[in-house]
Amino acid sequence: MSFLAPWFIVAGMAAISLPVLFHFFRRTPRGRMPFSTLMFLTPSPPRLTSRSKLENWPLLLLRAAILLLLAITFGRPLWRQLLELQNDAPTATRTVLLVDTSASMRRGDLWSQAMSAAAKAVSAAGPHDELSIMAFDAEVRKPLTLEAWRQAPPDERNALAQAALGSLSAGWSATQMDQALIAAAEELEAADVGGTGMEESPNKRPAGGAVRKQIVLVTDLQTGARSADLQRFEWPKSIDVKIVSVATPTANAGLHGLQTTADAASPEAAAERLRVLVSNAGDSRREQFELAWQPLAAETTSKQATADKATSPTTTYIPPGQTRVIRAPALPAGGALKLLLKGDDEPFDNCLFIMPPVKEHVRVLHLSDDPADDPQTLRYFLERAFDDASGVRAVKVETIAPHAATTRAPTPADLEDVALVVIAVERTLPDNWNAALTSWVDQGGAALCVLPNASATAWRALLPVDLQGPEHIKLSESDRAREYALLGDIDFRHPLFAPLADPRFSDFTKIRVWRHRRALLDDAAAKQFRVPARFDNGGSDAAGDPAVLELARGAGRVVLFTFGWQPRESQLGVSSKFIPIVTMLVELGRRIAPPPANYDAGEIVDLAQLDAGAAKKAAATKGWTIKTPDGKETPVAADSPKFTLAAGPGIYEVRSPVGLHRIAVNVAADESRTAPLGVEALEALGVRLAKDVPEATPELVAERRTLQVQELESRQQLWRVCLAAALGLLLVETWYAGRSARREMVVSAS
Amino acid sequence: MTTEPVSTDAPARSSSGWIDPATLMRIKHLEMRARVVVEGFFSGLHRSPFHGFSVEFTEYRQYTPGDDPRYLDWKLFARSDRYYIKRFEDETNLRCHLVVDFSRSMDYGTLGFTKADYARTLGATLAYFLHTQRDAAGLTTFHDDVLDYLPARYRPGHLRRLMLLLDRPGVGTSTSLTKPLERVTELLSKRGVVVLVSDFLAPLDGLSHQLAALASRRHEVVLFQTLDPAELRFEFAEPALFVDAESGRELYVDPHTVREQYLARFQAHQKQLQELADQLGIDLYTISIDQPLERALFDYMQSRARRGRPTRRRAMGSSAGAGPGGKA
Repeated sequence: MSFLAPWFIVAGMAAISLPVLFHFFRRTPRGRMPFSTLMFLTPSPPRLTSRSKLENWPLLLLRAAILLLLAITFGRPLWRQLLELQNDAPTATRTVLLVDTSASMRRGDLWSQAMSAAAKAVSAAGPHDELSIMAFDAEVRKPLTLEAWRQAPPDERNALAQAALGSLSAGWSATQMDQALIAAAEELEAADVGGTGMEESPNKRPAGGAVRKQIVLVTDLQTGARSADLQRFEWPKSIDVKIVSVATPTANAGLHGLQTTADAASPEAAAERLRVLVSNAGDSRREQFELAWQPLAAETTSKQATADKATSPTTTYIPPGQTRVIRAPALPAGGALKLLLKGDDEPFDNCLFIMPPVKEHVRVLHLSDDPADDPQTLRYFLERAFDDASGVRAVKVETIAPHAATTRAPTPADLEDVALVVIAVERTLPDNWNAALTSWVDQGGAALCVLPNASATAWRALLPVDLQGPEHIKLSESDRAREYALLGDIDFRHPLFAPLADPRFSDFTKIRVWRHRRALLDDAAAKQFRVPARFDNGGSDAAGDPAVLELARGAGRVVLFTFGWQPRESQLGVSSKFIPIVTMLVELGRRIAPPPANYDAGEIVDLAQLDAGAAKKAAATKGWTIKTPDGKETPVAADSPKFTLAAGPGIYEVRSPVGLHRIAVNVAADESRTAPLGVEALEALGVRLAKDVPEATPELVAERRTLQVQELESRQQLWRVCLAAALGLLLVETWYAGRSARREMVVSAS
Repeated sequence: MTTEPVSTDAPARSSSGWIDPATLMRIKHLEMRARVVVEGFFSGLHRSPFHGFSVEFTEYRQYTPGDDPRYLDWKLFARSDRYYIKRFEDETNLRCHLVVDFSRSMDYGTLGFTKADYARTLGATLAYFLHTQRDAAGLTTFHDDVLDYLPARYRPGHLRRLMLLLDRPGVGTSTSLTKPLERVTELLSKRGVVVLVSDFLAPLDGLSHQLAALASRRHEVVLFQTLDPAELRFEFAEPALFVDAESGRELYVDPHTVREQYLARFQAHQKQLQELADQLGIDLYTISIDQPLERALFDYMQSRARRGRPTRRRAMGSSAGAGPGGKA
């Protein structure tokens, strides 16, 4: 045991002698008695008893012990052995070397700077240290795991790590720094928890040796690096992050497409209306940029001459740190969809490849005998609901009278692009119609049955066989005594009404329904039908009549409207709710969704989503071949339809036995934000940054040792124990002294 | 006239509601202490065997030409249509001079308060009592010489000054009775009552001479001897080093051996003092400080009553009582 303030012990020892001295110096007469006058008194012979030995040993010892404990308390004791132990143990470091391989690392000589920094970190690893290498951009890879490092012989480890570094190269993906840091921290933590720690290492270190855990992050620390997830992550206190930041003084501006509108008839027209986002990095020194179309590499041979002639570049001015949305220059005749930004130092994000989405054409089949242009019919409103063909989807309404002699039943191929079948006829459809429609619904189609009257039977054929009997759903005409019914109970979670769930649009009270069919479902039907909307005629205790019923059938669905939208039956057709509802019906029945055509570099494409319908099936069995912009072809097996777009920006061609898809891949927009991010931003997110340790001088070592001793003392806090003991002894002393005083008094009184 | 030595036993009268001195001394304010005693005394008078005993200080006299018209009582004139002069106290009033011992031996007390406290309160009580009766009160404090002197007066603020002087902490050393009394004798020109409050624990040589001088000047002298019960009984158990409060002299004393001797000497001293008082016709009241202060006040009143009042005043008082104001 040693003391932080030993002079207190000396003072305490001196204090202990005081009670002994007091004991000896005590005057023999018990007390002095002041009295008003001595004129009537005569002196009586004194009976002094001299005391030269200690009377009350226990009390003296108690008091001395209290003083000694107080002196020790103030001396601030500590066990120094622990300190020696701590100092003897060598500090091993377990390091995760985290290398940024995102697209922004392609700038200037950043990558070579990063490699040399990483190599330096690798060579700094001593024989006791452990190292693993992780590379990250949009995803995290592990070129060298801790396990591999441990298993390698100590003298080969460095070479192993250098080789792992050599296998890395700058990619094209976005920087998801948060994911990488979290993964690295978890790796370090897992090395502790998993018991694969230092103890199993071939060269064991002394027990009690602390393992310093650190992450060396080699990155350009750009503003566009994602760090949001760190907010949700509680950074471990034992892990320090050392940031090795590489920087280049070059200027950078990035080019990115906004959502391409496919409302033009042709891709060229779409490109004409294309607007792009040009962002200039905050540390850029350039402000003048040019935008020009450039032919795609594959098309260069035939069309380059015309393209070069027709392209007239757009000049734009963007101050550093700002972003502008500008209209792309007029498209040259060649129709190349590669837009190039000129004027900055870094070419990695200067190309914009555009693949305008294909306009979707769908049909709505209306089975009805309605005449054209009669405003009292369903057909009139249905056709006009899809009048506008300027959107991303062109919907064509075809009205067919199924019972007409000239009409033939549709084949599955006829129904391929049909999104919705509206059945508004009364009589049962011909069998071949029913067969075609049921199989179409089973494959994912949506059939809307509008009940013209209570005796209509056509719709029943679309129900499952066990529900087709009239006893399951009994229809009757609504009560005419009531003036009108409103849609009272609407399930806004149902996809049909979900777009209208907002309180601004959810007012259905303006739609009056003059007549409707009352559908009475038995238990079997009630189990299978969903009722997204009911009328308000139920009263307080009973549910109202169903207004809309829905039945899932196979992959598709059958929707029943118990009322029509024509003015004779209701005001739905003339209300603002009609178009959203029928559009949602088309959406529900649409089986071929156009695949997305624009991706960020590094994204993972689900190839199965590119095809649909029959083509999807075919592709799913045979697999795909992908041609990357550099001309390399990669086959993808059918059982793992995922492909990482890692080969940089450009137009990728995905070939399946049934078709060809071209997808445009561009560098992620965030990668263009190359201005350096302050380390404070990471610190603010709770990441513990390693502090630079100054060189050790003798003074510094002594100072550090003093600090260590103080820290150890404040951690041990032995003085508290001493103080508590002193207080306890004080209580004992008080009790003992009081008891002996009382006893003395009793003796003297008697 | 003889006075019996006051018994040191608990007085029977204290059961009549008089205030225990220990309780009284807890009141810090001297004037308040005096007021409590006097008012308690007044309320006690109703049950007193001396009912009706009171000093009538104001009286009415028929106006005769030459009298100061300022003293005409106009209210009485309004009631009776006769001129009466309101006679004031200063014409008939007694002057009482309190002489209080502030020596260090008075700073002794075994009851939680000292003889000096008691003496101060006694002086304050008398002063307040006299003040309520519109009598003039003066004060001399002394130890071996006169500390303060305040002539006897009855005027606004005088009582307060007197209280302040009484309340001054004692700075005295030894007790010497002769020299202060000599000074008092010189200072008191007008005839009055001299009340001497002391423990008289000092050699009595020369005291008789000074008291005789006072008496010869037709002063009425009352002696209050305040003593601590310990001084009266000397009931100490432990042998100890006894320290003289005045001289600081130390003496090792075993009470068991010296008690009887002490009591004998003390009684001799008391006897000498009593004889001295008797010779000069002076009232001596020995009060143990555990006795109520009202008792001392009562003793004083008794002494005054015994001496009687000037016949002139008594006659005047009775005539005024049956006088025109119907003031009886």
